[in-house]
Amino acid sequence: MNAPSFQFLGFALAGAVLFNLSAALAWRRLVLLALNLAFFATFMSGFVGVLPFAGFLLTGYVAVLAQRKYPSRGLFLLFLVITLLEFFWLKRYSFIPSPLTLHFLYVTIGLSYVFFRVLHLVIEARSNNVTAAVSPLSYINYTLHFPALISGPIQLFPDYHRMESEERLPLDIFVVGEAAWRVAIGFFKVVILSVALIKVQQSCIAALTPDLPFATKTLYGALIGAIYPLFLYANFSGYTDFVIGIARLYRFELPENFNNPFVSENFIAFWSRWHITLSNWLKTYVYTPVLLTCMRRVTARWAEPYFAVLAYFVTFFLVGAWHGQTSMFLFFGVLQGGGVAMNKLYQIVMAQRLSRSGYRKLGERPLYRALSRGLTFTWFAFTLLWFWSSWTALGGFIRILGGAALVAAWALVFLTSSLVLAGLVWSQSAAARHPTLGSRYVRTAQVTVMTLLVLISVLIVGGPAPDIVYKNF
Amino acid sequence: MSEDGARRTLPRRDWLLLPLVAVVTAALFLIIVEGGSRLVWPESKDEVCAYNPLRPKPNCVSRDKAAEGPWVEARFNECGYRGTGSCGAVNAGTARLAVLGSSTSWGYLVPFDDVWSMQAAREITAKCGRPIDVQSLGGFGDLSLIAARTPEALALHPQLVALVVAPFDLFKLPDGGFNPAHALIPRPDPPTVHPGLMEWAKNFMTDSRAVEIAQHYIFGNPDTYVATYLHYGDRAAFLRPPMSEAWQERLDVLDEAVGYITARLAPTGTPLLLVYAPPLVQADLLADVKPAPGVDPEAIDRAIAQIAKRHGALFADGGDGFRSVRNASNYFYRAEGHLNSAGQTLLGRTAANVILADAPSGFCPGPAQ
Repeated sequence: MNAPSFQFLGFALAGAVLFNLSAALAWRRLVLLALNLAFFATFMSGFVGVLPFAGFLLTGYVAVLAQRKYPSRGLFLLFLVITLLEFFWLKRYSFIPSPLTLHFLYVTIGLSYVFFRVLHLVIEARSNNVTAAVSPLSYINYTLHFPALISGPIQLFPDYHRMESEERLPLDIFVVGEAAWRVAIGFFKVVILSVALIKVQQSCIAALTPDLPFATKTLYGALIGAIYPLFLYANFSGYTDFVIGIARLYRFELPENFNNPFVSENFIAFWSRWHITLSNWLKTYVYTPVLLTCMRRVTARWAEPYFAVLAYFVTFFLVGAWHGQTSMFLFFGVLQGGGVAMNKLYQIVMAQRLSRSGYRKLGERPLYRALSRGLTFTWFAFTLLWFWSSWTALGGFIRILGGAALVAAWALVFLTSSLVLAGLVWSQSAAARHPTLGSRYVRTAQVTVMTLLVLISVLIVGGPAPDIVYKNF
Repeated sequence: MSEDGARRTLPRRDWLLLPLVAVVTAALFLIIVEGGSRLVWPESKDEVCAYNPLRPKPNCVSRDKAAEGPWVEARFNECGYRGTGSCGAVNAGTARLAVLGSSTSWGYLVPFDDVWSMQAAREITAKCGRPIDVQSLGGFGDLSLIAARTPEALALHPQLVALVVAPFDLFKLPDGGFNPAHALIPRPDPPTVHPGLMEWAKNFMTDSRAVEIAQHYIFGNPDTYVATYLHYGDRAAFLRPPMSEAWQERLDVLDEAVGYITARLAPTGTPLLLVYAPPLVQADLLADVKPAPGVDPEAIDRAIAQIAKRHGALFADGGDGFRSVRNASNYFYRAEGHLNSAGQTLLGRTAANVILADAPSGFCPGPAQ
């Protein structure tokens, strides 16, 4: 069952009615368990195929129980290594020897996101306030929480547990309206916007030939590079909107994963607005420990800012490398880590050269801000080439475009994105001055139009719901 | 009243206003979509040349367009036939093909050069070196009306008469059964009936350009289209042998019509070519979709082939052409239902193969090249 799809929506709505029939905690937990297992079962092709996934979950739970009973650093490290190795093994990372991998079909749906939840519990297991609440039922419901199973967002256990058992969030007409809005906008982004964008990009790729005029090649090259981040945003944030809306009907508030990422004025800020739950998770469990370790080992004050550069590189290299098992994704990680580290280094150098206030003043200049936005977008679009393409295809693009058109294409992306994003920021601030644009009447009209467009599109296409890119990770 | 308080309530007026906003938005949206569709996909089916009893006016030119296709000019000669030229006598050495049937036979919404009969004529001419004059007598009538025009076809002194049938032609049986003698008597226009609300809504949906365009895209997916069509009951029953009583009755009428025509052609020795044009659902089943249990896409072809054999007619099975193609929907005006130029080409090739294989000597006198 794909999300978003009408099938999933029907399943989730029927489940929400059942779930809300009683306020009793046991009822809600049992209904959620049934729904989580039923949803997970839609990806199963046989009993054996689910065993590796079940084994992974079991290891995580044993780690939590064991550490609760025998809290020790050694046991923690052992379970940490076991969990990591088990994940790499199940995801068939290229450094795992092929004879050691399982040679039958097994379920891995959402495994990367389940991994973050399990690892979070393993790391936090020594802290009683977390693990005391982890009953078998809570553990299964948390790790397999069906709205967030396929591609997150990654909710931390204390947050989940609070809404599951302690705080029963209200569910009134406003909440239902807000949920409907998120579901409709999510559907629209995935079914209409992302599909249209990827079709344009594919058409440009198909039309790109060596004999095209320079200007056309430049335009196609720019479109190929610039459209993918927009597609990925529509696809992934659309999915996230949809599942956040669905979860709200179950009185859960899933964390936001996107916050207007393309208005970011630097790459560090971008990663605090894009795939927020993943970068927050890694900041908590990688960035902070790396930074603290460095600062403990080297006490020189002047070195502290450079430790942040290193910690940023490690963290965002992992963000990139987590996406896949090939050299493309490793390089994608290098570019993510490199981008964030260079950004931090630039901030340090500029603050030293201009003084903090001078650098802040520079950052307030409209032209500087617009160009910074354009550069951030362009860099992200450039790094994504290693996300959606292959070494062979990239070689092909370079051969067809040639050096001059390649440079011109990226310059075009930079200039256009600077201009367009400045327009976006202006229009967003203008819209914020007119609260009626966000009124429930306007939103009702928007939901109606988006729903009709989605219905028409689904009827016309007639095929399965478009896939979510992050479903593969 | 407040949305911020712990107990939020929706203002009473909003229980009415919000659904109203949704309804008005939906209505506006549909109007815009319909208007946009009509602008982008214009359609003209005035059929200015058609008149009672359902045959084109002589010396008439019409310009029609399916929303899914190009503008098409249809010229009807002095006899009201869509033909290569005049319906008068042909030059020595030129063979003549007279075509009976409804819209598919004369290529409704298809340029004349692309119509099956012209395609077949070109192929035969290329192989046999003999020019062929095509005269399509087709209109929009039922089998009684079509068969009743056999004497007209014979008056053209053709070397071959073709009768084109499609399941659409069989679906509506002639009023009062097969009766060609009665068919050509002009009938008064039916009284105007003002439609009820349901009928109006149904007509609106049928006439909606946006719906037509949506159908065009939906029907492009063979799995979706076939699955939907198979739910149509009687309309789809010709795909599920044994034939239902209604379909057996329709085939019996076709049997009578073919018998009637061959009997009138027999004294002149003119052979009849029975051409079967499959609908989209059948073409999809032949080309793209594995038939579900109980579905036999060739059942009707076999039944019609038997009718042809029984009456000594040649039989060109239009389904043959679709066995070797993919995306059968590309050969149809999917929403409108008729074969498009590509589909007519497939039909023409099949017919040419049959004519060349079992050709009457008048058509291809020399050895095929």
